[in-house]
Amino acid sequence: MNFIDGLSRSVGRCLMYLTLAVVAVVVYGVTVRYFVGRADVRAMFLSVWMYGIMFVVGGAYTLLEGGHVSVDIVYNRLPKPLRKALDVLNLGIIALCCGVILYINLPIAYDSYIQREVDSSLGVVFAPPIWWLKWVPVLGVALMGAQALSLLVHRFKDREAAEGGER
Amino acid sequence: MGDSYAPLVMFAALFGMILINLPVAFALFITSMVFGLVFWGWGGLYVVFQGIWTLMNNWALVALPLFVFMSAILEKSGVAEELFTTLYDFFGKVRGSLAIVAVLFGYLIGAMSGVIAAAISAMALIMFPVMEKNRYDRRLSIGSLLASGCLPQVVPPSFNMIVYGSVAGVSVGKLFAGGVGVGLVMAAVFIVYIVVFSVTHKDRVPVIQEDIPLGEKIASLRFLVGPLCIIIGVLGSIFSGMATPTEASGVGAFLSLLYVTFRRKLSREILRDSLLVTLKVTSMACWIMAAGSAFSSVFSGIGGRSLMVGFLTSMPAAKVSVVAFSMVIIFLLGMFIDPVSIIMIMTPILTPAVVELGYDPIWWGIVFSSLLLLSYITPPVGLGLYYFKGVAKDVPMDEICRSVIPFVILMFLAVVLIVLFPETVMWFVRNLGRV
Repeated sequence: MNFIDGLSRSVGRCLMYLTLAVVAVVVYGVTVRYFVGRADVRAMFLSVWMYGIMFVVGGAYTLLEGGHVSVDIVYNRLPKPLRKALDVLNLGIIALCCGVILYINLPIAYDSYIQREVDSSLGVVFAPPIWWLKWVPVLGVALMGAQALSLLVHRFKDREAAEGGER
Repeated sequence: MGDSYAPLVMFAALFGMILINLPVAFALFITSMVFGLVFWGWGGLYVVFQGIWTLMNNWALVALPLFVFMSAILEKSGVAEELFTTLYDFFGKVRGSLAIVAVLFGYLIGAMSGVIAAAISAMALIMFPVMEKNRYDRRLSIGSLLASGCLPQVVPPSFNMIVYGSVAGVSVGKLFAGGVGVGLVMAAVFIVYIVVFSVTHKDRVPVIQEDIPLGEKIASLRFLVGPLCIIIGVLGSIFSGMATPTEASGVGAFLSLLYVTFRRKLSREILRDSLLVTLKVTSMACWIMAAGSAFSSVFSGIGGRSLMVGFLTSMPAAKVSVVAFSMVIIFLLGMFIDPVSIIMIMTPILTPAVVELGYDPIWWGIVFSSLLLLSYITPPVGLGLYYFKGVAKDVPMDEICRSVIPFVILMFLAVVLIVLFPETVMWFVRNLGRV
């Protein structure tokens, strides 16, 4: 389970550099448009893709770091055992959500790959392959689901440790 | 008949899920999955993928990480601190000057960044100790710092306005233009209160005795040059129509990075911390938005949208009562839920009805975003309160909550002013927003 935590953390550490890359690409795009007078559509696609990858795949790291906001106003007033039970329930729901998204997303990504889908929003001017991008949420939720399960196991171990201490 | 109330059940289920401490993003996901499945079968689950995919392809939202990164780097590198010193040097001798400087500082930092974290932590870290040293009334100190620390969320560029604009489908540039007005109205209301309070409570708001030589004052102006260039670069390029908000965010982030490097304030740690914060905040907000997009598809699909529009527009004196009702709802939700979630949950419910009644969608977007400011400082769950507490550790939470109440009222008053006199913001929309 510590392997998954480590994986999420390393992935987060790598993904963080995408922000710098987006900055560079957007600045490049503005410069080209300003000096050449014609927008470089590749810059636009590239920046959107990088932003998408960043937030989708970064979900696991955010989960590990407790970054997904929740409302703990009732939770904080509950007794400890109940809080633990809720933690387990909530992590279970998160894992379930990720599982469902994975289940929905896999066939979509597979079909897209078979068809070698391209982004035709600009018509024939520039139609980059887009099928690979549909695999990004697959990767993102798989990682986030695994991270939720890992945290779930940690919670269980916590409880055993606490009980062991009392005995 | 039974089915027509399904949207309300869905809504209640969502709140149930949120109350058990399930992260908001997943509360939105699980309710949309369950209701999608019940009403549309397996095909209904497709909306959750659609939500994520739509969000991944939203060009306007590329601005989010860039503005967050910009704020983080300005805060962590200490540029914010210099800005405060400069303002403070200039207003030293006026009664209540420290609180007034806080307001101006909030506005200025707001024009450089779009999230409150930078402003509030900087204030709690730098300004609060100075106020304590000068024996300022504690309630005034904490209240004014927190309230002005929220200004970055309305003064353009504003994180919430980018989110609202892309959810409600209105121009982010125009919302930004209106935000200039909101910031001015709020700052004016705060300053008037601070001046009145200082004059009526002379014993609790002392005049600072420290004398700063004129030469030093002028020398400290150099710290304003860089930030002003960044502000002009970002806002100027948006309002002149030269760049979209997304492009401007890239340029702003680049300029900030350049400035901080040039001032030799960039270290490996600062860069890494800023990038990690950016990743977390972006991922958190975007997952809520992806889930919110799925939620609103299901909610509208099972009749929630028409139910709410029908219900709201049939209220007595709808033109007034709907806006009042919406404002109260957003305010109340703000006490418990974070702004991005409020936008995702309430926009599909309230906005169609308000627009249906003939209000300008831009104006309503501005009012909506201004109301969200309150959610940062309303107890029990105000993000700003926790940021402040996180830095000013020896101040009890109780005291922070009590101190902030006059400013919550002032802020609400400012929003009421904007509602009663739309010209205060619409003038800026017409004259600044060429986008």
